[in-house]
Parts: sequence; structure tokens; C-alpha cells
Amino acid sequence: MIAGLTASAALKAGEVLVALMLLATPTFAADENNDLNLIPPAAQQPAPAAVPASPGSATQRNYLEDAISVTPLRDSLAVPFPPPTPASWEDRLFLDSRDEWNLGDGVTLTYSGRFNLRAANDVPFPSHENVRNDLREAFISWQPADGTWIDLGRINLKSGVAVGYNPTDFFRTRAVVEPLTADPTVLREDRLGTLMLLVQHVWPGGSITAAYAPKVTQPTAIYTNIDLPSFDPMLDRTNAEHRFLLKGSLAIANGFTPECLVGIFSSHLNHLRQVGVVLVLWNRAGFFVSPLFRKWQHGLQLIDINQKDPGQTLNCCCTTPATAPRSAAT
Amino acid sequence: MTMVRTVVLALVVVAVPACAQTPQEIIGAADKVRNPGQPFRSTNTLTEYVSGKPTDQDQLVVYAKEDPATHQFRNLVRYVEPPRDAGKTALFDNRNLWFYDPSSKASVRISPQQRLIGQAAIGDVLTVNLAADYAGTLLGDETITDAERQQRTCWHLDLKAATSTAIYNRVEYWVEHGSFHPVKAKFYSDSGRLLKILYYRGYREQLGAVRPSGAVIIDAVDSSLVTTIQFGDLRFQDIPEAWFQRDYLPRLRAE
Repeated sequence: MIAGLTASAALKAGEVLVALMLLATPTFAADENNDLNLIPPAAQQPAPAAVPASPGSATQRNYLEDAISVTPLRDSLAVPFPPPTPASWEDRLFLDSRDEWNLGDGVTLTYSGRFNLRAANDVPFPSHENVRNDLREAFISWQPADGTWIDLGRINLKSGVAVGYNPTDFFRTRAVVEPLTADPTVLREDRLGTLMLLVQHVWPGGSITAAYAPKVTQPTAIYTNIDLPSFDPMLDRTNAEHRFLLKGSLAIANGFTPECLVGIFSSHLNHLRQVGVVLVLWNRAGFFVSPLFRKWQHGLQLIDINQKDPGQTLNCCCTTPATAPRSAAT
Repeated sequence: MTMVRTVVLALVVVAVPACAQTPQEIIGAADKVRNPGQPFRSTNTLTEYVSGKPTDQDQLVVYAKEDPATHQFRNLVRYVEPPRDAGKTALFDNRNLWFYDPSSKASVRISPQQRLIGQAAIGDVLTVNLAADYAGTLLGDETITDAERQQRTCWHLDLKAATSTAIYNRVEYWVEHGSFHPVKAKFYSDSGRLLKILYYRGYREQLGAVRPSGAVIIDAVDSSLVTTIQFGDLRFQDIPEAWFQRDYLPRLRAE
């Protein structure tokens, strides 16, 4: 009896297990398959892969653009616009080039510039001002070893991680050529490089860069719209004083790669003028990048330039007691 | 005796799918199907379709190398086509995505969710191990139709972001039984909204295993927008560690 009960129970258990087995059979997900109907017939089959571009195509970029601007000014103002007033109309046809040629043995030649044909109501025609060339970069680069480069010529060397203003961008002063727009991206693109010797080494744990920009001419007055030279590299805008920059970054830990910069300008050689530190930090709340500046006249400033980052609202600006520069102390 | 055989058979049938793998092991095995264990490069062609018609195409070269410490891939992406974007590069070093534009000669940090082309974000073309960034739960088994209209019996997994570097907050993932081939994925925003539906397709032998050669991404918000990705020219390549430094981005050249 007991055995009979046990057998009966086991039989029922077997039926339950078979039922479970049937339940465990994968279900047919009809709803999921409806998603396939969203794929258009043209995308049902893999598209033919595009022909791989030649390696040189990435280093040759030339485009032609024409920009027309019209500037109406309000009149009958109690306080008139200060001179010089902008051109009432201007048309500019330009050829923008950024090319690099491999000369062999680790040597490359780079040119970046913009050739402009200008016409405006306040620019005499024909005159040399109708033709202008902005020589942004022209330098030769040599790679003597893996991870090491020596560059010589006019180079656009930028520092900082922000899209717009970077306080650590030491070579920005007077470098922006006539901008067609106030778009920060364009301002960053359309600027003159600095004549310099640059040495850089990049290794798995970091990088170090040293740049020396010599003084080759005297500072000049700021140009206006009608006295821009045609084919002058305008080194007076970029090399009117000796400048030296040393910067390095070190990957201390995953997500922590501080970058330190030291910039020395000849106009202030009697004291160290600017020291910048860019900290790239990571925490669970988000990511922030903070440049720290040591300005000897104004103390320490901590500026957050990455306030748009979600989850991070670091907004601090602290000032330490002012430290007199050595020049003032002597 | 018949009863005992029934019980044993039922036990075996029921127990096999249950004891196969943990969800994390399934995700890890599917990662190995998508990504080889050694450094490699691929040329990805992305085509954007609007209302069924191709409108735009991009081509990128992706260099990927697994970090032995985090088991996550680091990626270098170099834009090849169209000419206006050629030479731009991006670096994903496990935590940060840096974008370098040779026009501005500056590298800035961007989000992996930033749009690349069509419905593909930069994070979608990166090589990532989902097991390193997500914690999975097995929702059950389902038979679904894959992109080639074949029936596939799959594990249906629910992946929740386990690290702050995960590109999406939640992913629904279908992985085929036995082969561990990823079949389908659904990506959700932080608010729980379905953003994209992805189908893997074109499984074939490459880089020493059978791997997907492409994917289709459907916009879940505007279903008239579809983007396809074709993985081509896959090959193993030694990638020096220095390439993953931000300062190397301006020096990266086509090979």
C-alpha cells in the first residue's frame, strides 16, 4: 500500500515534471519579430562595402567656399557706432587647404592655409587687399624613434580640453585671423600657428612636450580690415617675444591623467608668469576637467570649465593671499 | 520502470537549460563571439537610411585592444570617409572618449552617446565587452526570428548598467542557445525609454571564429530611420600601448 502510494505519487511527479518540461520550452516571441518589419527592403541585405580610401586621403583636405555678408547698421542713434564701422557688404571666396606629404624616413611636410579673394565696399579694387593668404601652418616633422617627434616651423600648438576658451592655450594671443563667425569652433580652426621648435615624446604611461617659440620681430599695432597684408605670414602676431612651453601628462591610474604646463614668456622673464595644471578626474558622479592656475599677482584660481557635465557641479573659485611677484619684490 | 524513466528523462530535459550557464557567463560567451581575444582592426561602413532610402555613408577604421586589468576594450577610431571627416580620430580609453579634429588641432571629450551617423552613436561602433559593464538577469527562453528570417532559440537577458562607463542604462539581449551568437539587442535610456533596436547579422568565419559581419540599428522613436553597419577588412594587428594616450591622437596616421 505504501509502495502503491509511493508509485502513484512518483507517477504524478513525473507528470508534473513533464508539464514543467513543456512549460520550459522556449516561447515564440511574436511581438519581438514585429521589429523586423521596420527594416526597409533596401537595408535587408548588407550594403556593399565602400572601397577603402587610400591612406593619403586622410592627409589631404582642400575645399572651396564662398561667403557673403551684409551688415546693415541702425541709424539715428544717440551714440554712434565707434569707428571703424564694419563693411556694409563683403564677399569672400576662399580655398582652404590642409595637406601633409610623407617625404620618407619618418619625415613629413605639413601645410595648412587659407587663400582668400576679398571684395567689400570699403576695400579698394583692384588692390593687394583683394588677395590674402593666411598661413596657418607650415612645418616639417621628423620621427627619429617610435613615440618621438621633432617639429620645426609654424605650428598650431593648442593646450586644453575645452571647445572654446582654454586658459592653458598659451599661444592663442593675436593668433586668430579675421573670423567670419564668432562660432568658437571656427575661432579655434582659423588661427595662425607660431614659429617654433617642438619636441614631443609619447609613451604608454604619458607624454611630454617642449616647445620654444623665438622672438623674430617687434610687436605691431592691431590690424584693421583694410591694412591686412596679402602674403605676409604676420609673424609679428605670433612671434613678437620669446616663449617657452613645457607640458607633460602622466597616466597615474585608470581615469586619472593630470597634465601639467609651465609657460615662460620673455616679456616677463624676470618672474615666472603662469603655471597651469589640468586635472582630468573621474568619480562615480561624473567627470570633470579643471585647470588650476597659479598667477603670482592674483593668487590661486580654481576654475571649472566643464560645468555642462551631468552630475557634476563643481563651481569653485578660491583666492589665496596674493603673492608678490619677484619683480615687484626687488 | 517506465515511471522511473519518465522521471529521469523529464529531469534531464528540464535541468539542461537551467544549469547551462549563469547570465553573466552567457553575456561573456557572446562577447567572445563578437570580439576576438587579441588586438584587431576593422573597417566599418555605416549607411543611413531615411524612409527606406540610403542617404549617407561613413567609413571608419576601428583599432581595438582589450585591457587585461578591466577586461574592457580600448578603442581608436579613425574616420576615413567622407572626405570632410577624413583624419578625425576618437580615443576610448575605458573611461573617457576623446575626439580629435585635425582642423582645430584640439582634442575634446565627448559622450559615447553622441550621434555619429544616422542612429549609430560613437559608442555603437566601439568594441565593448558587455559583461564588463553590465549585470545580467535571465528573463527566460524565447524563439525569435533573426535578421535573416531564421528562427533562433535564445536566452532573453536583461542587462543593467553595473559601471558608470556603461554606454546605455539598460539593454535587452537575445543570445542563441548553444552557439552564443548575439541575435538582437534593445537599448534603453536612463528614463527607461526604448532608444534603439539592433539586429546582428551575416555570421561568417572571420578572425578565427564565426562572428557577425554586420548589424542593423532601428530607431525606436522614429522607425523611418535605420542605419546599417558592415564590419569589413577584419585583421589582427599589434597596437602599441602609446596609441591610447590622448597626445598620440594628432600623430595617428593611416596604414
